Amino acid sequence: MHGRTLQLDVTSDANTKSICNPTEGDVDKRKYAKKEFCAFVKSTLNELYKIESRCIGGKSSIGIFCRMDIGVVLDSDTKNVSYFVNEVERTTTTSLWANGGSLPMGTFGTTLAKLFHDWLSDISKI
Amino acid sequence: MKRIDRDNKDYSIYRNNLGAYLEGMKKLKKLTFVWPDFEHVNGIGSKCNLYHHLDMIASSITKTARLPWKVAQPGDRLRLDAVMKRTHSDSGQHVILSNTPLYNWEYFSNNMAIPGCQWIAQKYCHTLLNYGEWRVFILGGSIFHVVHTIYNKSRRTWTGQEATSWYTLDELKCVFDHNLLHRLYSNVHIY
Repeated sequence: MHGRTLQLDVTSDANTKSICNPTEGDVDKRKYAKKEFCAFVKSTLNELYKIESRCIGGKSSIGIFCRMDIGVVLDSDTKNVSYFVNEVERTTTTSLWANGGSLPMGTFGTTLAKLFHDWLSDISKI
Repeated sequence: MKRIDRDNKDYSIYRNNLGAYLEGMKKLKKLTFVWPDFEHVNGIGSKCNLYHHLDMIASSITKTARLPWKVAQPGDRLRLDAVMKRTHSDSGQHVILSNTPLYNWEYFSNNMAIPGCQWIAQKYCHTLLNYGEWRVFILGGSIFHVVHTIYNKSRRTWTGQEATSWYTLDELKCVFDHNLLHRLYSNVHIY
């Protein structure tokens, strides 16, 4: 267990800066920031997949689909900010947060169908 | 004592049909392929194992901080700086904040119908409520789509928008400092 976290309580109002989709800074900075976020997600996913697959002696279900929820936490000692995984959802009841309309449902469904087809072909060989 | 028992209404699973559901899933598994395997989800994918694995990854691979957590036993003192989460659930119904009326052992004990489920006390993280979190949809090991969600305090609901751009972690530190300073200054009264 890691016990170093900072309590931060900011009352949301119009002057509170959002942490999503910044519009300032140059392209290089935004590219670096996206890379930083994606690298954290991918490193965690890859390792989690390995651990879970090893535990079950097969292939973890997150290799097909999962939703990884990422938050930010402040270290009270170092004052550093880091990403952390809050939850990993993987069942058929996982919320897609599709109400906003940004999720390309057709592409999502077609990609998932292809992954299931590959998974079925793979598992049928066993 | 009034019985508070909402069970797992989001999944239409209740105490009276849980046994039939589990038996049905076992039979179904013999007839066809089921994804994800419900025993896999109940076991290795359940919160305790998942959190343990995420702690290991954070300390050895990504070198990042994690929120402290522990399995809570019935009767344990409930801390005000914690949030209670139940295993075997991916529903917000089983995430109970300390400032809500359900934050008591009567409710927790009455919501343990799923065999093997446990309540976990996790350090409350203010940034989740104040700044939200990113929901990363991953297909075949690749990031497919990211939605940033945040709790809207005035509307008392969650809202989400597609995330396409990020602050660096160093910049996030400045954003938090800026907001803290703004809050401090907004509380200063000049006479």
